[in-house]
Amino acid sequence: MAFTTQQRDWFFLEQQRKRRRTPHALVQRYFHDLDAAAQQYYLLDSPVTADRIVMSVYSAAGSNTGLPTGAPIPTAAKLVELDFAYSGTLSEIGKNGASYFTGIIADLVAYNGGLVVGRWSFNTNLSSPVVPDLVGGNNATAVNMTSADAWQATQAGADWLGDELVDSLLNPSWQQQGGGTVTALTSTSFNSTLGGAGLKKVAAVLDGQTYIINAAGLDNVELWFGLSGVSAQKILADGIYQITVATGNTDIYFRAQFAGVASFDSVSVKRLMETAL
Amino acid sequence: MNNWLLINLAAVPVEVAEAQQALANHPGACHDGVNTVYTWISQEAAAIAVTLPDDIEDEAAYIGQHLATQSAPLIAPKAVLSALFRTPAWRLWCANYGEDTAQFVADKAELGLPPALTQEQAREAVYAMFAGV
Repeated sequence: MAFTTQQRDWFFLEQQRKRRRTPHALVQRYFHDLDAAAQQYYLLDSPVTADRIVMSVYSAAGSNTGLPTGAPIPTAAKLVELDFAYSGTLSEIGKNGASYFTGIIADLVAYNGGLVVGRWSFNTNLSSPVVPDLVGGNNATAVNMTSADAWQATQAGADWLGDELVDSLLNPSWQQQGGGTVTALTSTSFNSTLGGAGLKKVAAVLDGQTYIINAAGLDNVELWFGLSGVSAQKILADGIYQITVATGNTDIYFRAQFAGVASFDSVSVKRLMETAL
Repeated sequence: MNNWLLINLAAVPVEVAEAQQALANHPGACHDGVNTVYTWISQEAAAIAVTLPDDIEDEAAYIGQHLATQSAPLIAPKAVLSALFRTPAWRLWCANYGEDTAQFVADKAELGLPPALTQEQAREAVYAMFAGV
């Protein structure tokens, strides 16, 4: 059954409305972290002429650098929808001339003369660089990106939560940090012969990104993001916390306050992307 | 862990350079005209690369000294390299300010370099600082 362009537009809009009306439905998707430092962007198979762009973006810093000309400055650290007039052809997404975007582009719809001429949702795990065009088959290629740049998220209310980052302490990804001898005893406990020592997971979080932490039953253990006593972001007691990871604090540490067994009932660390949509 | 590769393609064996450039959708990013950062790592490059130790305190100084004194590719976490590429030291190292003189002036002040230094002089000063000469 063939649909007219107007019917497709209506269908997409209805889908968006339904998603907003049913916040409790389990919705999962992938997002891609674009980093200007690695010049990551999407290259369209063919340029499209557009006079209007509607796109959902997340920029931790609140920057429109690398977005299409005319894009307003997005609210920092929020997934926002930008709807703006555009003039010319669009051949790259996440790159504008020599400027590259740092953040997430969750969706982009290009219009021309009131018709949708391309739509990309960037909802792939990047095992393949192909990002499909949901309208006209004008696919995009993810440039300088690997599957490590994709992260899966689950919709939570209006926001998005990433997968759990704290796994069993018995996992080899948790390495000793500090002096003495540190031994993982169970998935949630370890023994340290020295206060201040513990287990760390290197490069577990991304600086500049926001995470939600739910800690329960902390016993002789502190959760640190970053190691420096001055700049580390510390969870010292049970509770629910929201932090934005400071530059350099990308390692997670479980540190024993004192020598002996350190344990917790449960600790959850998940990436949080708040939406302003 | 999401590791990136920093490599001087002209300083490694040809077969390594060719292998690292084999993927069409991975042209890499070269900020300083010498070293290219890749988000994927070929087996050939990995075989000769140095991996950033995870127990050093000043990662930027380590990377700077490595680039200034060694030709082997460097593997480091994305978080480390991405943060490095946003530092004044790296911007001075790359000397690609163009017309952005305000950023250049601010970066020199941040590193305590004389305000009168040109971009090339500032680049040499940062290079010497990292190289330890």
